[in-house]
Amino acid sequence: MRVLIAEDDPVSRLSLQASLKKWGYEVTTAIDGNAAWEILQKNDCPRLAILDWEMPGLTGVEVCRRVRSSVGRDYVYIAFLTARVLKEDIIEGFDAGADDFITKPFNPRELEGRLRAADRILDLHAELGAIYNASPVAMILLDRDCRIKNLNPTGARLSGLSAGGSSGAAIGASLRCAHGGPHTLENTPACTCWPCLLQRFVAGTQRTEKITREEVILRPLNHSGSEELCFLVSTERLLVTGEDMVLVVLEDISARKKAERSLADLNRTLESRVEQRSAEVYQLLRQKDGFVRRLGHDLKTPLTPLVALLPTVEKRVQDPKAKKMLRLAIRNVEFMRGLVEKTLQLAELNNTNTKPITERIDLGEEIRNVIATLSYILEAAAARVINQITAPVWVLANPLELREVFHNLITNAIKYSEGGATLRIAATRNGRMVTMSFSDEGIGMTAEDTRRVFEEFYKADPSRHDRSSTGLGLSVCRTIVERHGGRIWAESPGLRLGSTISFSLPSGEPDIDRAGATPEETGPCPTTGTQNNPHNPFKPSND
Amino acid sequence: MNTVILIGASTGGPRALQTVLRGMPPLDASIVLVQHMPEYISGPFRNTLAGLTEMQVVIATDRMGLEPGTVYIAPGGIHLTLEGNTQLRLVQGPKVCFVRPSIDVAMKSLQQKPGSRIIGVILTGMGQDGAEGITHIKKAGGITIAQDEKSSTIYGMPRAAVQTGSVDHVLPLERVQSKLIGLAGVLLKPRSGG
Amino acid sequence: MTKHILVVDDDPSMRETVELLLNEVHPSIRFADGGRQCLEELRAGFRGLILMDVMMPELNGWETIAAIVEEGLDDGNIFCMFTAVQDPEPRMEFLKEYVLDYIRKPFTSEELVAVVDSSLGYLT
Repeated sequence: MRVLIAEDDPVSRLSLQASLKKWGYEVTTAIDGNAAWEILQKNDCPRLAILDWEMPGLTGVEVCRRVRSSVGRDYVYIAFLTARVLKEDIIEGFDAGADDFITKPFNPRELEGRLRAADRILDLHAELGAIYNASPVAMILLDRDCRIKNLNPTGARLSGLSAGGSSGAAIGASLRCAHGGPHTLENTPACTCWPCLLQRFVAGTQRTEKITREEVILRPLNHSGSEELCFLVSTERLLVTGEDMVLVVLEDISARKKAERSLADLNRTLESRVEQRSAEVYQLLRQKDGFVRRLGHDLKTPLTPLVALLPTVEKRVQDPKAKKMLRLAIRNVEFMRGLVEKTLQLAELNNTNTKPITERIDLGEEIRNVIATLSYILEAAAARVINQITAPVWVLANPLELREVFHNLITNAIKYSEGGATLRIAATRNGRMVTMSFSDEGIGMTAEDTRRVFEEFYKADPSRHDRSSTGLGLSVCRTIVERHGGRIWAESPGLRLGSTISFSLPSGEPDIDRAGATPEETGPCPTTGTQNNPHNPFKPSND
Repeated sequence: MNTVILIGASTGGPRALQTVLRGMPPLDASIVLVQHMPEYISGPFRNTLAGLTEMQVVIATDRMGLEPGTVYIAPGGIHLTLEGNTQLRLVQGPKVCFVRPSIDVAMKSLQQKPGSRIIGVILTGMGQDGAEGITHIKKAGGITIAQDEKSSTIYGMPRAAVQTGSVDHVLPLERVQSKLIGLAGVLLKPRSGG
Repeated sequence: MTKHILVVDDDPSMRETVELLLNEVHPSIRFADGGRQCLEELRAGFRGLILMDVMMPELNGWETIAAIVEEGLDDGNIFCMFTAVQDPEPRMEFLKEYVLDYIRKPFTSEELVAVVDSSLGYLT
């Protein structure tokens, strides 16, 4: 530890010097006030100074005042050496910034104790100063008049402001706009020079007592390149040695911001790529649907002579073998016709632009209607359909499309049952959806079948080339159900153990306030009671 | 109670109307047909329909009063309206929805009246004539019917009507007749001819 | 009185199919391979039922009817359209008064006969 002894009396000086050396101090001496001030002005001056009260040239008090008034320098611990112990002197000394008083002649043990205390304070100062100086966070302390009272090296580096700096204001001097503009806040609200920015931060604290935080884009002075940096700026009002001050702390968050930005850019790029890909896929799907539609329509014209003429020819031909051949041809033409129609239907349903026009439909009633229209097919196949929907269950659906689903599921069940099918149809409401199930006792499905039956042209047995099915019926069902916001699935305990196709549709249960009666009150079979009543609030949609 | 059934039809309509009227017993109602067609077809069209039903079938003339058990055909080339739901008027005017007579014009002349019941029916056809008319009839307390998609030669007009949300019943063509019989009832004492 | 039928279609198989199905009952059936020939037939005095394909090169079915109306040749004729498309073009709606019926391809012999018989009934 270095120490300065300023004492004009050689005896006292030498005696003190000897003691201090003995205690391990490195001693510098000054023989008067001017010499002392000269040494203390240097950057690497001793941090501990023992000043005589009375000296030729500058007095000890004067030297102390000068040290204290130079802002932004390392702290110097100042102890006065005095023979007089006048109360007025002590007060004056402390007012000037003194840390301690030592009376002459000194007691060595007391002096040593006092110097150790000074060491501890200086060590603390050094530690805090090291942190302050090494901090990557810029700290700038200003008074209410915007004079810079203190700033750490980072603050100085970023702002270009420093003691004696030329780009802004010197420490302790009031800030001036670096562009020389008329320096009022009103005139330079947008100026981004550091003096103006600091001015604004200080002005900001006058409106609030709290710490304010904001993110600010700044161009550091003397910063290589024109890159702008982003700072998190905290501004806080503080009382420093009884004086109202403002501490501005600037944390460089550019790297974080940059990372955030590049992440956001990455996300955007990714999103736009996904969008682009989706658009391409949709475009392809549209092209596919367009192609299918064109092909379908193009096939209809050449099918016409076949559909129109073959049955007529078959009726006129007498030869049984020729008749048989024609029937075979007719069956295949009918299959082609069905295929064309189902394909076009699927393309139309897949058209994302058309939303189904829905009505409230009672599933029980609708099933009864479908069974009635299919009665001749059911009889011919010796099939039995058990409608387990006894009370009205309402759904929101397009009647034509719903009927198509029913028709496909019922004819499918007949097709895949050997010797008289039995089909059970049930419906249950679960909250806002209704689940409907068609359970047969037919040939059943493998686990793979249950997953894949709804695929276009999927046939459980690929070796089957039967002309009774287009392989599109269940695809049509799936498309229709999904268009309505529902889901369709298949279950089977295994081959020959029957299967169940279930699907969900949005419930069409009326709101209580909209209707005077609940569906139950219309009775389990509303067909007879309500059909001719136009005022029935539950209008049977397709009665 | 007087009942007016106003049926609007366009493309595919003549065949559809044959299905509706074939074997129709004399209804306790007046049926007014607005079929888009060239004027020169009105006469043969009347004759064809007259051969299918026991109801009287006439071509509407201006100021003709409505009688139950009778079918009135709007002639081509002129708009038809009803005064007080009981008297036919033939009105000159520009085409509405590209046509004259227009179904909308005829339907919108019907009024909500005590002792009077109105029923609007939209059958097959291109375009959307009749959609506004159906909404008007529904608002006037009437009953509204549209042909369903599967049985329609062209679903355009029924679709437009259904999309207004004002249609009470969407029916396959073959069930329109029984529905009308159910709603209007049959004349107990059939009108004597002429 | 003989009722005349004119089939307008660019596809020879279609024309032949309709002929095979109808000519026993309607021996006076005539044919045109497109809109121009159809207009020529009408200018030459044809009056009757016109079965018209929609999709034809040059003049399509709707354009042909528009040309017929333009020339004032529509009077006394009844039009039915053959079409493979589900819905007619909405922009042709202004011609709908002239088209009494629609026949969807592929049609059966029964469907064709029903439309023809019904439409012929409206000819005087």
